[in-house]
Amino acid sequence: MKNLSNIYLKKHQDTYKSFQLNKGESIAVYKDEPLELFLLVFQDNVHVKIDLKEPQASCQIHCVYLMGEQQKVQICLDVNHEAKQTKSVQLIRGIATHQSEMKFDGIIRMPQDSQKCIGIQNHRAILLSDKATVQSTPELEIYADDVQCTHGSAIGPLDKEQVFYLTSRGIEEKQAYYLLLSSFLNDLLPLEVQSIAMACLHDYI
Amino acid sequence: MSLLEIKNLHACVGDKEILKGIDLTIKAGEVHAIMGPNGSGKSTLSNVLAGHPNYTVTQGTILFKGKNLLDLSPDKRANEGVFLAFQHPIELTGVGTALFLKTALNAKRHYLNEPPLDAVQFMKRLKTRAQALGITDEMLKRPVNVGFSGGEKKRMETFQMAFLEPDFCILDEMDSGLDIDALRIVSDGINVLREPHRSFLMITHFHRLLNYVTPDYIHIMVNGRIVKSGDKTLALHLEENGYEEFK
Repeated sequence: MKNLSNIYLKKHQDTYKSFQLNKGESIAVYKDEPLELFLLVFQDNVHVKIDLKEPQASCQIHCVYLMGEQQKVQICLDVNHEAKQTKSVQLIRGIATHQSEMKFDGIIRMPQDSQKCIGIQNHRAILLSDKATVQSTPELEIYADDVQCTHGSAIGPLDKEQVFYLTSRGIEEKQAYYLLLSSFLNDLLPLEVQSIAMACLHDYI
Repeated sequence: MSLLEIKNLHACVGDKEILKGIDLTIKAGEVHAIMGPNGSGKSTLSNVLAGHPNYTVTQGTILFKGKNLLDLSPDKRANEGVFLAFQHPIELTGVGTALFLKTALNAKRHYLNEPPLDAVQFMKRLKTRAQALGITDEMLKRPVNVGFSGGEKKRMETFQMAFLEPDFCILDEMDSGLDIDALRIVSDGINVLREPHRSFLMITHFHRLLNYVTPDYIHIMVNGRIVKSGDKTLALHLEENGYEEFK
């Protein structure tokens, strides 16, 4: 699916609203206003820089990317725990097919004074073609000694045994892929963008 | 007419030939059991019948209801009425059990040119069949097989079989990893499904499953071939003497 623009959403109370992400600009987060961002990435490079400014400030970034054709996209999430006792969560799920290339950099900075901070990063991607690539680089710059920080990356093809299990129950292969891939993304996708993401997925299977 | 007719079936995984000429005919309503030592090709046979892509058939034919099964993709085989109960049921993270069953059932109905079941009809069918096999609402809400114990997974396989109403059920080591109570529940589930139009092929190492589900025929498979066939007394003979004389 060509020419779909990225969608950026920010959560206000219980609903997501469109959000303007300006290049090179940092988002400052304070304790009274936790930041929840959702990024749906199709083709443009994304660079998000977040500064957690005071104790108890927190941010949660959910990012889903869907790539195909010859697209080359770079996503950089850069979280700076400027203050102590701050928390960040980065959850990224992606699907890459055809000859697309994804480069993901996930940065978590915890300077010396940012004690008791929590940083979580998890990136999972499914490759639907042998020629698609996803490169994941977690960068943890941690100078404080009393923090919790985890990161994980898992990139691979769809499990063929899962596909066979579904087809052995009468479900067509294409639909089996759709079921598995939509479930893979669904827990991160807000309702507001589900239909557009699923339409793109349909196109890529 | 035979439901299933296998003639001179040879199959490989990679370069290795596992099945070396299987002949087997199963008529409607019959229960057959295949026994054999580890590595004799029993699970390969069940996977080949269901159409697992890792196995290549190099020779022979499989007719199912008179159709060439080898021409059909796994989903078409299933919709024609073949069901494989897995030895190790696969966990489908994120795929809800009810959604999975509804998709499978409506795929079959679509294949048979029947209208899909609506939500109410589906739930009614789901609840009735689930109750009989002790499948709880909580299990139906979870993703398929995720976090299930060994016994729960086998119960879920039996439940799927009851739900999808296949004509030919392949049970690949249904008894492995089951305690006595779970074995009884699963066996009862199988026995309830025995009908004149439905046949079973049970693959097992042990005699104990056959105490609960009595087969009409037993075949002994060694090194990719069926080396002996007989009635249920063959299992007792095996229990006493092992496979040594057939190797």
